[in-house]
Amino acid sequence: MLAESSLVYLDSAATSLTPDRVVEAMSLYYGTVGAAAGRGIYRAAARATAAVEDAREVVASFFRCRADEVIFTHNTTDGINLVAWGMDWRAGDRILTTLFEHHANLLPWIRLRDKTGVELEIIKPDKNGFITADAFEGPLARGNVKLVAVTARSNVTGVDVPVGEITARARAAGAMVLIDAAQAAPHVPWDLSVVKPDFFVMSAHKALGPKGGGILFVRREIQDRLSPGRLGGGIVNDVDLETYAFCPPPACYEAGTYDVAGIVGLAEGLKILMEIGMGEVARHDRALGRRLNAGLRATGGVTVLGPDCGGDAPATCSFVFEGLKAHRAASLYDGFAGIAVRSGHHCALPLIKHYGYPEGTVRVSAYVYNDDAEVDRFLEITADLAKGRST
Amino acid sequence: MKAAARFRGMALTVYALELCFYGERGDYEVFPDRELGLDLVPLGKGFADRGWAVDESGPEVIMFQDPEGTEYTLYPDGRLIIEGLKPGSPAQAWTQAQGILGFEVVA
Repeated sequence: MLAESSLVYLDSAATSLTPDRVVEAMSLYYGTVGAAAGRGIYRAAARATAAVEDAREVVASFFRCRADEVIFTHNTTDGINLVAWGMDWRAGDRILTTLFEHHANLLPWIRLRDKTGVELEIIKPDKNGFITADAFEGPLARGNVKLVAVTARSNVTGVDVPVGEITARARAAGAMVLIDAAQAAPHVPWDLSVVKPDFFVMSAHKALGPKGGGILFVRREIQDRLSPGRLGGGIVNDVDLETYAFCPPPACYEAGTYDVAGIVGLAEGLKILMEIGMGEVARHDRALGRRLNAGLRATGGVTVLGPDCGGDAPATCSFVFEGLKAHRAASLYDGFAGIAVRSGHHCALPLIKHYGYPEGTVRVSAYVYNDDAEVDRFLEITADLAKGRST
Repeated sequence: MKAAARFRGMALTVYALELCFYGERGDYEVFPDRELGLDLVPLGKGFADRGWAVDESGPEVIMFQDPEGTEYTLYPDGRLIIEGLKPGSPAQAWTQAQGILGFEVVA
């Protein structure tokens, strides 16, 4: 999986490692097929098309939805932007989102507010540090909410958001719901036929897949309310010099040549997760998360951001050292122990400012390939750094 | 950004990366395309002799600060973290790195 096998990789909230099997699946496509999908009559082209449609079914199986609700994108950011710029907005429409959001699920709505006159309301954490479903009640009751765009898990603190309950309440109030599952999709089981969001986005590269691929789920019943955001080849039934007619979804949302290898790799990553079992993946996430959070919170000179989730702590959390800046700390983890962690504001500046650490934090995030020994090694180095000892 | 450089007669490429930052503070990482094998102990002594504040000095890392308050973390492979410059000043990071690592930009 890694050429540098001594590396302790604890930056999976940014991007997961890529299993050999995923790389081999992608390589096999280029080595044996290589043709474009949906574009030719010859056998290699048909095999490429089959690879894309087979992958779509894998995704549908993973998230328990219909294959024609699965749209291949470049990543989570891309999926959110397709929704932001593909819906028909009117001045006075309201969008609810939260302070937990990654910039990907915040900047499009800010720009939309500035360009179209929609209203944007940011739901803040409660006094205990959680985003609750109750916090949406008042804003929903005020009416005209067109979209609730909410992350399922903070990419900074790892704290989960009750998106199932929020979705139910939002839809009861007549609002549509977009779930940003960039962080949560790789870690917990999903059944979109039960949760019933209108939109759901995730990235392949956080779920054992390659960089540059993602999924936008668009619930079948509302697909007529999302205009294709990218126009070009492969999305139309008819074109003349005055007008055009779109293909039915999902093809109408997938203009241009498919990244077939990326899509094959995305599906292979999800297959591996299904073979492990998402229940087991979630259990492992919690077990490592408990160890990480308890260890960090017990370390003097270290402050962990966000609420203590105790036994439910996911294996992603951010913290700061007293007297040691985040970038320097992250470089020392690497320099002394070969531990890869993230430093900075994690593309979530409003949340980082809310916690009072705008200069950045260290974020540690584990995944299915990490174990207790790696977490313990990380905690040991953390204690050394907190004491001011670098060696 | 990147540039061709020369270090002790060796041709190499040096990269400068702006790290995420906030407000008036810009942080950078400068790194060469190959390990430089720096002997950090005499380098640390040199910075101390210049009157710079050396927070930590050893064969694996040196951490020091120049009189303007810019902080540096240097590893034997030549990776240099520069913290506390103005945002949007990669050219300044480049100049600082040249002075500290002793490489010469050739293109």
